[in-house]
Amino acid sequence: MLRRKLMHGLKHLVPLPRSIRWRLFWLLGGLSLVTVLAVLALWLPAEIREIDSFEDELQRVTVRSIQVRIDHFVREIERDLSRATRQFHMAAFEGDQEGVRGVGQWLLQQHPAFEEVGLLDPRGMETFRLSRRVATVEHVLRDHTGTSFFREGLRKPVHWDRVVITETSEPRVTLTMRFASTGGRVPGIAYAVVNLKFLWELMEDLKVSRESRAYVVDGDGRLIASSDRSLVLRQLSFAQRPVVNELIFSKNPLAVPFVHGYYVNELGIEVSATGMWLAGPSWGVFIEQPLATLYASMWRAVWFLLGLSVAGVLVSFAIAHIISRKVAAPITRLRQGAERIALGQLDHRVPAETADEIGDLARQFNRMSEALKASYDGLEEKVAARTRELSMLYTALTPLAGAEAMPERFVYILQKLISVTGADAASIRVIDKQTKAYTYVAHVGFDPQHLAVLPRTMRSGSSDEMIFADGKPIISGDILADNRITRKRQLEFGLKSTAFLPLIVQSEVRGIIHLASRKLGYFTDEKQEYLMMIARLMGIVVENQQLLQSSIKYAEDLNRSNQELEQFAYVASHDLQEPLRMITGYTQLLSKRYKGKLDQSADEFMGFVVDGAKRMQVLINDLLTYSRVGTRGKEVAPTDCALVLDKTLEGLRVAIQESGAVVTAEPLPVVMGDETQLGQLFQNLIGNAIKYRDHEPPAIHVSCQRENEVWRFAVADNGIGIDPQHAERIFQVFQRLHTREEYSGTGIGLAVCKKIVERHGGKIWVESQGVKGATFYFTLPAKLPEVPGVSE
Amino acid sequence: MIHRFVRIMITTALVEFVVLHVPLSAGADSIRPIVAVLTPGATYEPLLDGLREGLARRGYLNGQNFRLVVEDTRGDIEGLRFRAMKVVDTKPDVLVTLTTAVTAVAKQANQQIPIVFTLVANPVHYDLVHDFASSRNNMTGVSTYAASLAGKRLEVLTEIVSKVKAVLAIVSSKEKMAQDTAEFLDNAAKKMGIQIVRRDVATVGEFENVLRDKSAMMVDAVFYVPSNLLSRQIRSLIMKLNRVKIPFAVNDESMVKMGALTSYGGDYRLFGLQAAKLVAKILKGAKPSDLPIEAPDRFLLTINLKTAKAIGLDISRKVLERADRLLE
Repeated sequence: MLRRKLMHGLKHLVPLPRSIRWRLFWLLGGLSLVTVLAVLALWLPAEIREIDSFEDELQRVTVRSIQVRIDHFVREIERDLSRATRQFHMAAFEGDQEGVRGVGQWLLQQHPAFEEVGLLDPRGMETFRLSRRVATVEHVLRDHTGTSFFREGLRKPVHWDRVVITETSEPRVTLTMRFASTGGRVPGIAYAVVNLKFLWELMEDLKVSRESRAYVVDGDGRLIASSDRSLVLRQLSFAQRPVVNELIFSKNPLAVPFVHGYYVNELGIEVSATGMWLAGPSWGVFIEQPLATLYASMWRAVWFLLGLSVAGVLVSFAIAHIISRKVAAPITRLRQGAERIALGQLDHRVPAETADEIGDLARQFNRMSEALKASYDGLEEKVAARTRELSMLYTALTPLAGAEAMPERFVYILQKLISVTGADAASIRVIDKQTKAYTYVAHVGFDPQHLAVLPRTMRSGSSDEMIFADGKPIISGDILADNRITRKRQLEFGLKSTAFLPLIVQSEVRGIIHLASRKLGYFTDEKQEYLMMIARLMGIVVENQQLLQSSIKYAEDLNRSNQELEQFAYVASHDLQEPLRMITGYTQLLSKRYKGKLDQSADEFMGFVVDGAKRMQVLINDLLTYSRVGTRGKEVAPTDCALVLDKTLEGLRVAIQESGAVVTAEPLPVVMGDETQLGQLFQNLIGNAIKYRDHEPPAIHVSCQRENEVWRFAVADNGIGIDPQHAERIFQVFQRLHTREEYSGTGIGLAVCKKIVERHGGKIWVESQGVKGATFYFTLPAKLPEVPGVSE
Repeated sequence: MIHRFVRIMITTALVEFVVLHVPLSAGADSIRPIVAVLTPGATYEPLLDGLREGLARRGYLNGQNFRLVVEDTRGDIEGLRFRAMKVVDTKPDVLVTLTTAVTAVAKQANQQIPIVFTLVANPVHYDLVHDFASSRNNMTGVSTYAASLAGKRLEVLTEIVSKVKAVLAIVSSKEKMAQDTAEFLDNAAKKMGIQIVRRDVATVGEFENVLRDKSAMMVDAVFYVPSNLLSRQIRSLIMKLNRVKIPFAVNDESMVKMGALTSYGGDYRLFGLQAAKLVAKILKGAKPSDLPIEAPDRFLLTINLKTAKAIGLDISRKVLERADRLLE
């Protein structure tokens, strides 16, 4: 679980590359990196500790070396003075001054560090002195009563006094040795002034490194020797340095093997120091080394290790790169091969270069691609065959909109279906949902006796019911062995394989297409998709057939109705003219002869009869006109609309003059049309413009524009306008927007216009804001018959 | 007369040009660093040996990784300044000077080039340095204590030559160090009850006159007062004294090797080694003012037994035992 979470987190943190090569590269490189880091993590601290320990040890060894050298020097000096002291004592006891001088000269000769030697009596008075630099006679024997070396020398057998720096910048220390006491009384002490230049040179010679420094402090922490002599000459005190302080204030410094610490020296450099105590003179010996220098080797080691590690990691990554590329190359070629094959290059083969698993994989891949190629080739053939079959079927079914009767068409369809599917027999049966009774629309290939036993109704629990229930086919390669098929009687007629396909019309199973074969296993589930495609096609065919039949019937009915209506309207309007004229004539005759002879109501009633008869006559005339548009129209011919307009305006001259209308027109084209009807069109539109005027004189403008394949005519006026919501209604027969009292008319004029325009293949509409003015547009086809030498 | 004057002038100018501009050691010009030595010559050769040896011990090999340029004045006091300038013109990295007089002239000639002096009796007394701890200038070196050591040397002389009553001291009157040494000698001699027969000389001629002076030779011993003048004449002096069988006490073993009876003082070779140590430090970047003036590492007593025998001197066994070196 934890591992999974960790991997999940890592994937989010570092998106893993999808390429095997890069995965392998990062795996190998990462492993080497982790290995190097692990080695560094384990080794580096140990290495640092070792170096640190080594440096400490080096300092200790150096300090010990200095201590040994100084100790040797001190012991040598003490030994010589001790020997001389005994001889001094004897010579002095014997009163042999020459002997004392001889001992003094011997001592000076023993070691160049001895600069001066002398004897003090118990009172501190100098009894003898011999110097390396000054003649004895030049001496004035001094009183040393108050000197520290006398006091301490008298108290201790051996005493190293404080180190002093002379005016000649040399360190000197006085060493005293007490004469052996006689009778509890100390007869005197011998002393020697020792030059400590040796220490200075020793400090210069012994170093841990170039930057390190050795120094010696006395019991007070005062610097008495250093590799830098100038520091000694400045008589510095290092008592405040932690390590020095620790050592000089230790109760038993000799018990402390080493002291170690860090401080910032007088140069401001942070140093590491190690020191130890020196027996005898009570001096502390120290060596200090800048931390930067101390850790330089450590850092060198660290950087070396890091550099080595980085180099190692780089080399590892390079090797990982080479290995991953080498390993991944065959895989990459496999992938590329797969891509090429996926692109359809089935002839492509992957080189199998190696004898390992990848080589095997490549060979298997090639075999697979060969198989795929073979399969693909077969598939192509199958698809081509199926395509041909479907094409044939489609070709067979497409021209089914002929005039044959439905059963004949479906027999034809089934014949084609058998041809395409290779079946031996086929039938189409539809079901009556109410009675569950089948009606066999068509059947082909069934034996007449077999037909007699085919199901006539859908029985409960039968395979047919399953088809109607879920709309899925039942395909059986072996009818006898198929439990879904309940009626095995079909076998009696040699049919062994069958397919029951749902006939789906308008998303509803309306019947079953039954295909049967005498070959065992001919229809299998593998052909299900193909057979269902045929079934769907059959459903569409049936549906289309139904729609087609409905459309044809509707169009025929409509045409017949229209013809009957037109005939009725014409006959009615034409035949009504005669009796109407008789009614009108005799009513007018009655009104003329008997007006005033009957009562007033009779006159008024006769007036109504006459008016009604006249309006009926107008209505009948208009209706006759409307019906004649479709029935009495002339053949269209090239017609000059400008001439038609002129004739129209001539006919309307009286109305124009009376209304004071101004009619303007732009050049109008020649169109294919019925001159009379076009004149009727212009007359109705201009007449309306004059009639539906307001208080202003009518201003009518006729224009025309070419728009692609049509001429768009416009008749604009400044009349009362039309409410846009009535723009459609005004073109219907007998539709009026105003009362007869407001504007006279039958409401058939614009219907006539619409009919004329549509007869000419155009459209008519009106645009108006409903307040003032309206523009009637109509289009007429612009194309004229091609006549040599004539153009539009 | 005029023609001759012009010829002398041209010759002088040519000599001066050659002396000043021709490199001291042609063919090794490119080798750096350069350590120049300004020496009065004569008996100081052991010091130069010590200097070479000391530098070699520290990795400086002449002609390989450094160049040692030696300017020997041959005791020429008058031409000392000219010689010093000549050495300074070579632009050495360190200039080593021998004796107080040479060092004083070198100091005047240059204030920048580090100077390591040696055979200087008391550099503070002669205003060469501020104090022994730090010169506070471009100098450091090794002091010989030659002057102050005069009493000790006289004491040593009396131990070697018994019953010394009168001692001849020939003092270079133009050299301060010699005067100071004579003063130390006088003080010690008075305390020891010894008469110092002092003869001040300024020239070689005067020195030779002293040698011819019978009264001056009527002494028990001769005490060598170090000076440039006498160092040039040391051989003739030793020969003269040995001829007249007068013990001659000097301050350096090299003179004993020439025939002087005894010497007590710093060893020239050791001085050279000490100076080399300081030179090496300066070549490695140390500033002279940071290097304290050093005292001699040790004083040596050397006795020439051959000379003792030649002059008919018996030296006690005790004295011989405490001698550092006995030359036969």
